[in-house]
Amino acid sequence: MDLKIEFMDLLWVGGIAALLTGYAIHIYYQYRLKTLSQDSTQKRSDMHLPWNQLLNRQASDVKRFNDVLREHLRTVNRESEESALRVMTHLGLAHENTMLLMQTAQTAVQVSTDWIAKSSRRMEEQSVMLEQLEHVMADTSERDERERQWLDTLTHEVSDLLPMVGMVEQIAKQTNMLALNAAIEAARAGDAGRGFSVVAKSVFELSERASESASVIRSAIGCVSNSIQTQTQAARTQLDQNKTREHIQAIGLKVRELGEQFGQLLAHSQSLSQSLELYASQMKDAISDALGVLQTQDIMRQQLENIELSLDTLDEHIGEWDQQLTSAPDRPDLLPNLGKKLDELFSKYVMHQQRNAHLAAIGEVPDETGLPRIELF
Amino acid sequence: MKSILLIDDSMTMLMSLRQTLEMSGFSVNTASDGVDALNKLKTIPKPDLIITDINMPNMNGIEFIRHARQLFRFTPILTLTTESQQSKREEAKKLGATGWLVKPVGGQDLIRIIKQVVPAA
Repeated sequence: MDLKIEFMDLLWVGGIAALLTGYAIHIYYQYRLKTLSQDSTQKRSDMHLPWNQLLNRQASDVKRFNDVLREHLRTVNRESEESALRVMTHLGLAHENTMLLMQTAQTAVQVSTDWIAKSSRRMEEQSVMLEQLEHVMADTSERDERERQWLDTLTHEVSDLLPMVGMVEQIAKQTNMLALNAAIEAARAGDAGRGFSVVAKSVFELSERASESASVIRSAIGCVSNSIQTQTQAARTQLDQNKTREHIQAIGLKVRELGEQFGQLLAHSQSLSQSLELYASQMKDAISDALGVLQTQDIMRQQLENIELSLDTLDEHIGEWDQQLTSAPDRPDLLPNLGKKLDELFSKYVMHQQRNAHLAAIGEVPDETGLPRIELF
Repeated sequence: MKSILLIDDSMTMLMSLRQTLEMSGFSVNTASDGVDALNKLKTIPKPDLIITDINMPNMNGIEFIRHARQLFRFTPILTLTTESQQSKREEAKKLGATGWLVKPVGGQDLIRIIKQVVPAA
């Protein structure tokens, strides 16, 4: 009983599955039939069009296609020109700023060069004056040295005089004593001593005068000695002047050294000025060359315009085919030849590189020899 | 200061050449084609040098040289062009062009050439 029930169940399930599958297949085929029907309807529709109208439709599509390409080319041209102009503007600004910087730097260098030159000249003048002062002081010093030596000699000689004065005074004193004794003895001698008394009196007077002279001489020697001392003191101050002379010599040496350093600074300043001029010149040359490179934008513009013209040629060609096939479909010999148009294209090229690109594209050998790029007649 | 007339239908060319020349101390006037240049020459002082393109609308460089030589017999005229056809070069030479330069020409090269053709530039 159970086995029978299960078998019946299986039959029911299988039957339902088969029905569903069949229905699914039916739906699928209906869909496919519908799709195929639409395709064939379209094809039957196209097939009903004359083929010249098909060509006309294609020609119109090709033109639209080319219009899109032309617009892309114009966009590239326009944007490259705008970029080139922007670059030129920046290069112009770079040049202006460089010139301004150079002028400022040159002015500063010129001012410092002038100042250094003036200072250097003043150092030289002061150095000359110090040399002259040194010479004058050297002469004075020599003269003062001689004077001092003479004073020293004089001092010694004057000093040597004093003992002699002392001796004269002693002699005068002794003579005085002798005269006094003679006078006393003369008095004791009475009349016989009268003559002797006169002599004694004369001697006494003589000794008095000698004593007075010695006193005067001593006093004079004292004055001379004081005077010599004064002069000697003055001579001693020359020692300070010698020190001053040494100081001046030292200053002169420093001034000369400073003058040499100013000279080196002047040379360095002039070298800096030359370097700035050279840098400005190199910047100008670099900017000039960069501007020259931007000329390639014009070359590219011409090449792109040439491609646009080529697309116009292609449009014309398709249009001519369309017209010819419409008017005389049985005359395929009258259809225009695109190969000839390619030759016409070649003849219109202006640039050597355009010709070479054309030749390379059609499998021919490019012409490597070009005319000189620069020629003066 | 020496003056130069530039003739080219490309604004890029006119601007780049103008900047190069003014940086080197030249005074510059510009024109966009041969017709514009002939009109300009009626109003500006005689230039010391003319630099012209060849392929331009309205009046090309060859025609301009023909007209310009009737106005200025001795003013140097340089062509600066992408044109590379020998026949055009020969025609320009026959009409009185001073030299033929193919673009692009570097700034330093251009100044050097100008100094050769313009006395005391």
